[in-house]
Amino acid sequence: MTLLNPWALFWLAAAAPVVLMYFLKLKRRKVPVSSTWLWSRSIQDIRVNAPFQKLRSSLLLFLQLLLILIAAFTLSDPIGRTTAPEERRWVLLIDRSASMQMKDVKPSRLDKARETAKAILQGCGPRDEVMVVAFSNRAQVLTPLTSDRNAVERAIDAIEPADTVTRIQEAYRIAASAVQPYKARTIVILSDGRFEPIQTSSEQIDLRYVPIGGEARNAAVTAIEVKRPQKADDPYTVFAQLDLFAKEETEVPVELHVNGELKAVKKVKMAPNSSGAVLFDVTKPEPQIVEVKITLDDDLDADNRAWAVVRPDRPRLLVAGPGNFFLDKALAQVRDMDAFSAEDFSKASTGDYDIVVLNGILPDTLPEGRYLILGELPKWDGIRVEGELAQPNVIDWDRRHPVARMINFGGLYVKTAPKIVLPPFAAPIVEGPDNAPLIFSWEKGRTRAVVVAFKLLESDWPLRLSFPLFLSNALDWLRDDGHGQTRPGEALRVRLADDETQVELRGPGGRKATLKGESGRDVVYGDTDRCGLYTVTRKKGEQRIALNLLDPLESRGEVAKEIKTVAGQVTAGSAVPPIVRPYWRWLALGVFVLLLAEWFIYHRRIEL
Amino acid sequence: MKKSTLLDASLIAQLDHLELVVRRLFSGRTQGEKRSKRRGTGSEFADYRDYSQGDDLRHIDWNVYGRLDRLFLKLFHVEEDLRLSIFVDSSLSMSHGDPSKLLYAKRLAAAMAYIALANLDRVTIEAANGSGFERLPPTRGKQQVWRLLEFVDAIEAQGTTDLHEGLKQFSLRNDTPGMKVVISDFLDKKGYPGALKWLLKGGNEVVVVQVLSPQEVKPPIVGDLSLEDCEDGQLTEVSITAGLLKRYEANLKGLVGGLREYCRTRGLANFFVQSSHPIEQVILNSMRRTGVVR
Repeated sequence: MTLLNPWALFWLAAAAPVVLMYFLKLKRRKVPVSSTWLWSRSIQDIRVNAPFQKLRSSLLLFLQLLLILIAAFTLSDPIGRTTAPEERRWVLLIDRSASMQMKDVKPSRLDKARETAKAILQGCGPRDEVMVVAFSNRAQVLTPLTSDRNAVERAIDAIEPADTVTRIQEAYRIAASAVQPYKARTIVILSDGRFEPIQTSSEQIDLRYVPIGGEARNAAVTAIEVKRPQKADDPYTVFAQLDLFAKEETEVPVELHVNGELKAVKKVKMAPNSSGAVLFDVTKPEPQIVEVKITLDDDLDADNRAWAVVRPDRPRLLVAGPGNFFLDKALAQVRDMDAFSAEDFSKASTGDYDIVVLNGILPDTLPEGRYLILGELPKWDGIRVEGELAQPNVIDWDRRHPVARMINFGGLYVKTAPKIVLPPFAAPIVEGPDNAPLIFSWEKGRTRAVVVAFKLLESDWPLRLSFPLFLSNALDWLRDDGHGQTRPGEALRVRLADDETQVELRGPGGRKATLKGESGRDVVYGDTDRCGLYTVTRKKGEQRIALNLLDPLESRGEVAKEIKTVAGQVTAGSAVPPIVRPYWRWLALGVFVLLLAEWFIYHRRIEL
Repeated sequence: MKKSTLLDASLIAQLDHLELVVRRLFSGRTQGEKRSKRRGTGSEFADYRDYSQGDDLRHIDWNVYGRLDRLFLKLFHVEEDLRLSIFVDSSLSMSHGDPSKLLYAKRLAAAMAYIALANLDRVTIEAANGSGFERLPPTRGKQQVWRLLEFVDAIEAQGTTDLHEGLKQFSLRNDTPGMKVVISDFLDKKGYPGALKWLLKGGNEVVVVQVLSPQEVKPPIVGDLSLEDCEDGQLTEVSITAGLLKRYEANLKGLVGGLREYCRTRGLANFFVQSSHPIEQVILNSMRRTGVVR
């Protein structure tokens, strides 16, 4: 046991005046009586009969001294500890990802984590500081390091579940940097432990893992796809992949909702821990929104529903320009697209196509649209040509650009290329000497384009592996409205049309926002923690975006026994510190009882 | 003559009909109305005995001599006076209480003395305390009532209680057997048995009257007090609690009961009175019932 505030023991000095008062004695009224003989005999009788007569004679003094002793002791803040007290910094990393909504522990894993966090908080020393970071696919600091217990408790209560995957690294980084200046520090991870290995820093931080959760029984939709028919009269096909994480065979009821109406119900008998697919045919009405819903009462609700927004048409691709063997071969590999070639581009109507590939030709005017321009430089405002580069080497490329993803442009041979200066909104993808872009992307208004500034046949690029990959990436990016791959928790990018400066957004759980921005630019909406349909209301109609969990790892809900770090493993530990036990509550209770006793005894004395 | 407040006329009228009763016979000093141990010139026949030389010839029964030709002497019960000795405790403790215990004791003494005087008995009264005594010498005859009342009236409380010494001296001074009355509160720190044993000698008829004030029987005090003994000034600090009061009452009961038991086993008449009791009741009821007066 340790005293946190030993100076409070000076309050023991308060005993001195009390004792002094007793020395001064009670001023008694003198009453003459005929004889004190009987009285002294009576007093003697009481003394003889009382077992603690000595004590009793000054019982009140004794009680008062005891009261002062206990009160001073209470003020000195005694705590029970097995180790010496030191001011420790705690960071509670609380998982709020989808799997934490599992109800395998009552009421839910997140509630259990909250409870455990509060228990840890209770056990912390009074001068310890606590920081709370909630993490899902990103980290959220709820309180900085503070010794204000109420603030921490409020922060813990404020944690909301998210239908997202689990990424701990950012949260760990924040936590580690917050406690970095201190010596005694502990990071506690309250989670089911299903996340990537933690990149721990070299310095030694006490990292503890408190597993939360039990054995989950859960069915989930882990994939959804709507296939459009090949022929006009054929039905649409809705494909959903189901995963069952349970120990026993289960019949999983699945509902299909099309445009908000229940269309079909199927029951799928599934073996323990197995995957299965379910197919629905949809003839009428033309599906716009398809929802697959598992109505089984399982431990996690977030993965029981998945939505798909059906784009009106299969993308159409127009390839214009002189034929090119390599280009044709590469385009033939692109899936789920109808490619058309135009011998005479001037006769073709670009409005009928989703993407136009211009290979070596450039019409005088380009209407707004999506373009892949090869070997030509469109005459768009802001593009300046400052001479020519002979045999430019590839100096660098933007590896984060979706078009350059997984592609190595190194060693590319180009005969000549124009030396281009781009306006700020255009993004260079591959750069030559003097930061002159060789390939760049262009987004302005409703136009989105990828431009390859050099001629394909004057380079060795078509022979390289990077070429078909580039084509595939570029077409994906051009076709993409940007929302197909968005997962819950990721930012939603909405592009404003040329005549818009704001759009309304509605999301699940009553989310509502007005997104304002510059015409023709992206606006970002971040509150996407929940699965469901997000509706963007524009001037011209509505756009729907479906955010689905679709993550078997979250749906599985298995609790890891240990978590991995770069340095090694952290095995599951207890809910940390029952090592600190503040005694003051019990002592305060004792003081109260003593006061009552003193009051009672004092009043009994003058009672007749 | 100063008018005494000790006895009022109605009480005196009632006392006139009473006489003291003794269960045994005592020899008196002069002729009175009580039957004596002695045989002699009374009016009530007692016995015969043979004549011996020197006997009073007036007491020879000549009728018997005529029949039996022997001289017999006729014996009569002698009627003599009774010696009543009253001891009044006049220590300071007796002055306490409302009404005062001493006044009560004085009235009781006066009443009993009046009864005795009215019946031609010889009365002596002593008021004693630790610092001395006052004594009314043996007095006889109703005409002495005023002297007696004057003496009793003049008794004042002073000094400590010393029953032991007081009663010892009292019994030595009044060694004539007779009725001995002790009036006291018996609040003596040395206890009463040692004192009362002096009265047991000589075959006295002893009446023990214990007088306590109502304030002593049920103390009306409360709180943290310092009790001062009025005799020796000794201070006793008490915090009066219900428990202490209970204990006090038990002790008082023990004192009173102990005295009663002491008297019962030794054939002494014992009365416990509170100074608030009417004195007529004590004499006319209690004493009559126990046969001290008739």
